[in-house]
This record gives sequence, structure tokens and C-alpha cells, in this order.
Amino acid sequence: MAVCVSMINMKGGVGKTTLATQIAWYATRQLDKKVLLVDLDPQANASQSVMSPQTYVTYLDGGGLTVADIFEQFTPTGMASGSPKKLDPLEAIYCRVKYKDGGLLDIVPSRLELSWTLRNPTGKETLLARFVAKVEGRYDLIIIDCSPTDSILTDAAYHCSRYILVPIRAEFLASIGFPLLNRSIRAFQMRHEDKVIEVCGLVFNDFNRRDVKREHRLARKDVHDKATKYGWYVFENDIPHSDSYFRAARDGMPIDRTSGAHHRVKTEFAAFAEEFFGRIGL
Amino acid sequence: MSHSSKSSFLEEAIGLLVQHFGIKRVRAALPEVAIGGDEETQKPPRRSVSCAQKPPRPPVANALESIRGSDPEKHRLLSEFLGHLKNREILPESQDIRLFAQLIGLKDIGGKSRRDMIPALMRFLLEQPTERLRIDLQNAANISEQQRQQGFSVLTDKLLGEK
Repeated sequence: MAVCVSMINMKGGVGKTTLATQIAWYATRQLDKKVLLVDLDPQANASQSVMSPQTYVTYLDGGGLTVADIFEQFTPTGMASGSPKKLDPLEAIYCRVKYKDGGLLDIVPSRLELSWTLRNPTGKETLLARFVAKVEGRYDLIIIDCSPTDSILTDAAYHCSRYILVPIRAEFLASIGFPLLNRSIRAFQMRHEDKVIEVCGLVFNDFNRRDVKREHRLARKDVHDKATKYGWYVFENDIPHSDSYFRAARDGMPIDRTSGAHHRVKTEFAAFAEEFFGRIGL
Repeated sequence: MSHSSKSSFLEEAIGLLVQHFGIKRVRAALPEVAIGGDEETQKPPRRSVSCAQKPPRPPVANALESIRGSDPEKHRLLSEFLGHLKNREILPESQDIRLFAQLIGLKDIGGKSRRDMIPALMRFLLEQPTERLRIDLQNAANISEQQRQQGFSVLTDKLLGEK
């Protein structure tokens, strides 16, 4: 059975998508794992990055199914798929790469029309979990890249997930999103007492490694204090900012194979990844 | 022998050589002496050791030729591809080859330069089924720095419904 991890933070721009795609790549390439990346953000950035913009557009133009179809499959006027019909789960999965030694990276792409689900969410929050239950036997790891809002989509991710990974930036507004997440998880757990879900940790992401200004130190301390209070783990290995992550996203490449990426950047990411996989027992 | 006595011996020896052969001939002979006699260069180069241990791999052209009779379609596809590759009409930069390798499931393509990567890429492609090759080689045509830079435009056109 696959381990399912959701990348969640109510704050946008903290690096959820970058982290989700790079963790997926790392598990596929370095650990030879079979990975499914679920893009649960209507902005579809993970899809565009992993598939490349041209392939993504061709996929949509060719009628390729997306996560929006999973949510709208029973909607009588489902705009993403035309008419209501039971979806074949494998049709919504795009194979990005399959290595000889067993590593596999698949993706359930997203599309802007996923935002329609937010307008009419009734009865849809478990559809993704049902989809995952049908395909998880094929994978070791399922990563869900969530949108930065507390919505039906977040609940759908909670229903699927065993763990939540919280990328966070050491700045005041970003740290405010973090107690909101705590509240959201607690509210979900109250509604679903039988569901086991755990924050596997917070990771400081995308900060300037030379920045030791007071504001950053204070924000970091605030997050540490709150994490301790909630009993949430803070990863020892941070992920400092590097422009190479932008290039990796644009080229749809793992950071360790991205042209021009500094050795230190690759090493730092690998250290975090090893710590993360240790935390989730993979 | 101490460093200073070594230096004086060297000066003395060079002086004798110059006296006997003349400065021009000594200068001309120095590069050869340096290559053959230097302590560092007396050690066999690492590359030659590994080459001696491993049997030489047949050139890609030979491997390609060997499938001409058994799989003419694959031979045609790969020969055309190799031609375009050599002329830089396809995958023009080393990063393009690396990206293409990722796309087709070649995890670690060795070498840094384009020239180093091409044989590994071709050997991998030779092992692939012909049906899959057709798709993979079509995709190769879409991989270039120019294409990557156009990614933003491709997406915005799609979102705004423009061609």
C-alpha cells in the first residue's frame, strides 16, 4: 500500500509545488520508488512543470483526463468531461517516466476547471480518496500538491493522506498560515475520528541563506515555538533559496540533473529528502 | 638530496647539456623528456587503466548496422535520428539530451558534453521497441532551449484560448 503525503500550507508561494515535484523526482530516481503525483491545484503548476508546457497543452487538447474529471465524474453537467460517466482511474494518469530499475513517476494532471468543483462541492470530498484506493496498489508513494486554500480540495487531500508536509517560509505572513492549518486539521479530525492523519513535519523553504536579519530570526522562532506547542516536528534540514529550482521547474527536471544547479543545492535537497523519507518510513 | 642541492645539480646538468648540444636542441628535446620522465606523468593515466580493463564497446554505427536486416524500420528511424543529432538539428545542446534522456527513462546519461552523451543515448534507444521509438523520437523534436522559453507563451495562449 502506498504512503500518501499531502503538501499543505494555507499560505501561497511557500514552495509547495516545487517541493512536491522534487520529492517525487527524488523518490523515483534515487530510491527507485513508484510515485504518483496528484496535482490538486487548479493553477496546475505541478502538471505544467512535470509534463512540460507543450506536452501538458497537447494532453488537454487530446482530451486527456485530469483531477477535475475525478471530482466531476458524476456531475450531470460535468463541464470537464461532458456527460456523467464512471471514470476509469488509469485514464486520468499520465506516465512521465519509467526507469528500468523500477522507478516510476506518474501524474494526475490538473486544470483550471478544477476550480468549478469549489463552486459546487457537495458530496465530492471523498471522490479523490476513492480514486486513490483504486490505484494505490501500483505505487509506493503518492504525493498530493494542494492549493493554498482551506476548501473541499483540502478535505479531499486529508481523506487520502497519512501524512502532511508543511513547507514554510520564515516570514511573518507565512507563519500566520501555519496556525490556520492546525485549525483546519483539527476540524477535519473532529469530523472524522477514525481517520489517522499526522503532520510529518515543517520544512523551512526558499529563504536566503545569508539572511540572518531580525525579522527572519523572529519568524523562525515563532514557528518553532508553535510547532513545539502543537507537537509538530521541524525538519533539521532546510531548503535554502536557489534560482536553480526555477530552472528545474521550467525544464521539468529533478534538481540533481538541472543544468547549472550548484552542488551545494543538490546536497541540501538530498539531505532534506533523506530526512523526509525517514520520517514517513519509506 | 636536499632541495637546494637538487637545484644546483639541475643547473649544473642543464649547463653541461647546453654547452654540449646548444640551447636550441636542449629546448626542443625538453617537452619529450618532460612527458616521459616526470614523476607525475610516469603514473599510468586513470583512463588508460579503465580502458585496459574493459573490453572496448562496439561503435554505435556498428550496433546500428547490425539491426539493418533484422529490424529495418528501427534501423531507419535511428539512422535518421542519429543524422539529425550529429547535425544538431535535434537536441542541439547537452541539456536537451539530458532532458530527453529523462523523458525516455534513461536515468543517468554519462558524460558532460553532447559528444559524450550521444553513444549512451543511441545504445539505450537501440534497446527500445520500435513502436515506442516512434513516439519518443517525435518528442525529441520538441526539446530545445527555444521550446522551453516558449513554455510560458504556450500556456498563456491555451488559457486565453488563442492559437
